Amino acid sequence: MEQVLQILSELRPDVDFTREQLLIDDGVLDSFDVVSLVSELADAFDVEIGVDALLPENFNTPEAMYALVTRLQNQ
Amino acid sequence: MGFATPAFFVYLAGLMLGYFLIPKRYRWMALLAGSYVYILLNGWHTALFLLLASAIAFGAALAIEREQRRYAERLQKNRSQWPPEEKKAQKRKAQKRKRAWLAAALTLIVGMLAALKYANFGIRNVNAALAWLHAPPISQVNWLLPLGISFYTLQISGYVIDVYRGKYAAERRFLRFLLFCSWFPQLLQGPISRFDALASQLFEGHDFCWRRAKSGALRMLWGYFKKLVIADRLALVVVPLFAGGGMADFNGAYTWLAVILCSFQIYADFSGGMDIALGISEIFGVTLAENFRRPLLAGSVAEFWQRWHITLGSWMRDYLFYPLALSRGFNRLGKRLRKRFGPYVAKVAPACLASLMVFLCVGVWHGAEWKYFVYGCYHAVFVSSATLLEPFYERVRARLHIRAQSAWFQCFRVLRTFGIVAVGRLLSRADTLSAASNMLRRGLGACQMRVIWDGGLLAFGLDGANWIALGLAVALWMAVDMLNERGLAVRERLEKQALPVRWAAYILGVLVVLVFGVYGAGINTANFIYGQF
Repeated sequence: MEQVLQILSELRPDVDFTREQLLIDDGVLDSFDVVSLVSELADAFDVEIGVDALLPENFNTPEAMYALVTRLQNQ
Repeated sequence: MGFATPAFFVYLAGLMLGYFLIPKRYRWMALLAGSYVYILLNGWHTALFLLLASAIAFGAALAIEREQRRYAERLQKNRSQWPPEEKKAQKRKAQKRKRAWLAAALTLIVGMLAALKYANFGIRNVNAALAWLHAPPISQVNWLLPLGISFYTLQISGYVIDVYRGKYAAERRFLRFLLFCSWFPQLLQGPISRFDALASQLFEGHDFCWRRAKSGALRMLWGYFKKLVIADRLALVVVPLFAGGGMADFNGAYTWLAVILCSFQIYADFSGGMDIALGISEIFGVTLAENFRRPLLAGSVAEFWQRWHITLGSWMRDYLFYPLALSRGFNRLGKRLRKRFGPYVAKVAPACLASLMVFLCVGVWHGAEWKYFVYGCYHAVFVSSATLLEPFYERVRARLHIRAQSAWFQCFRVLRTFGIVAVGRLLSRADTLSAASNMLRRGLGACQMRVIWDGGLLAFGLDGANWIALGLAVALWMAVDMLNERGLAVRERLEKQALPVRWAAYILGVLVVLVFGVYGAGINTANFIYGQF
């Protein structure tokens, strides 16, 4: 989880990721951020994040992102 | 039969009566029948092509789902016997079959759009090459473009891709699926809906709700205000302004008048059409996706596209941008760039390249002409360069001691974005690229602003009283936009007012549209700008 937060804070230092609950739905992260984020998460956790996983519920919070990469690691 | 014709109101009243009088479980059939009556009244060829595209998508989605089911059943049966390599091989095989169905469906559905919309564009360009080789030209085709094909093609393609991605199950009832593809308020110019957001609302029988009907009618009224009072009045000036754009003696001052008025016209026309479509749907208990979020208040071109034609932008993002930017090829490109230019360029350049390709598609989607191609490139350059050059802009701001959050800087950003987008309108709205180039050249050179005040404003079909009416209408519209931006929800607030206040506002609204609306002999109120795309 720490690693996800670190990737996020490096990507967008201007956002307090511990408080935001709707990063995608509220437009805090835009599509360019999502592309960078996916490639960073894929490299850091050694998983393949496909386009079908790009749902708001998987990226709205750091917890949801961590749950996604954990799920993909276990597949 | 456009939304702003008397015949349409008769049709709508008939459909409402039919819908709310029959038993609940048959009500979706009334919507389907009503949608096809509307489509047939606009021409049989639209019904034919829409039916064909719907049938292809319906069949392909079922086939994709069947492949997935068969794979899951085989896996369940052989889970313990199959070694991991065999599991992977079987998964790849199923994926390949699913992809073949998807590719076939998209080729046919998008192929219809490509053939009908872009055939003559292709022929014209081939003929230009043939003329250069002194060869005889190919005859152009005379195919009618089905109503709303650019919109329903994206909506139907999105459904097949979503089923392929496993986002939701394929619809098994063909007639219900037909309704999703043909819901008439959104057929002409969107919004481009998603199956999981719209279908269940259409299939569910809704009771008549007086409050909802009033709210929907109010939204329609606001749409007619924007379309008939503002957009069609602006069209009286914008059309002749652009018609003279290619002339050698075009006064550059009119370039700036044209781009500013055209920006307001297209926004009023398109968002007015959306208000009417969303209002009609609301009366039937169906909530369509919003397509606008005060785009004139955007602080950057990227933000503009998050506020303007939202459903097209989100379609392009989900079905084109992400698959491109996250593809293996772009990933490899990112790794190569990292070695050569460092992590920052490696991170943003592939996304910028994907964005460029998406904007080219957005441009070409608008029409089969080179000007739309250039229009797409123009926006791509601003969106991509803003991201690529952000560290540079940050340094400049720091050096000039500019606080990014200060009110005046935000104001500057809004005005700058409006300017960039307005100049972009020149590309899409001028008759040809050379006319756009002539207008821009003369706007930057032979520009005598005083001609506008020395009678120029009155030379295009609007007298002083009309300009005042237009100015007041735009001021009201912008004030409502600003209040909505601040979260005041003007329509909801109006609906909560005391009965006399509410009804005074409703009656005044109807009177304003009837008295100040531009309609009558010689004016075609049925045409929406985006309806022609």
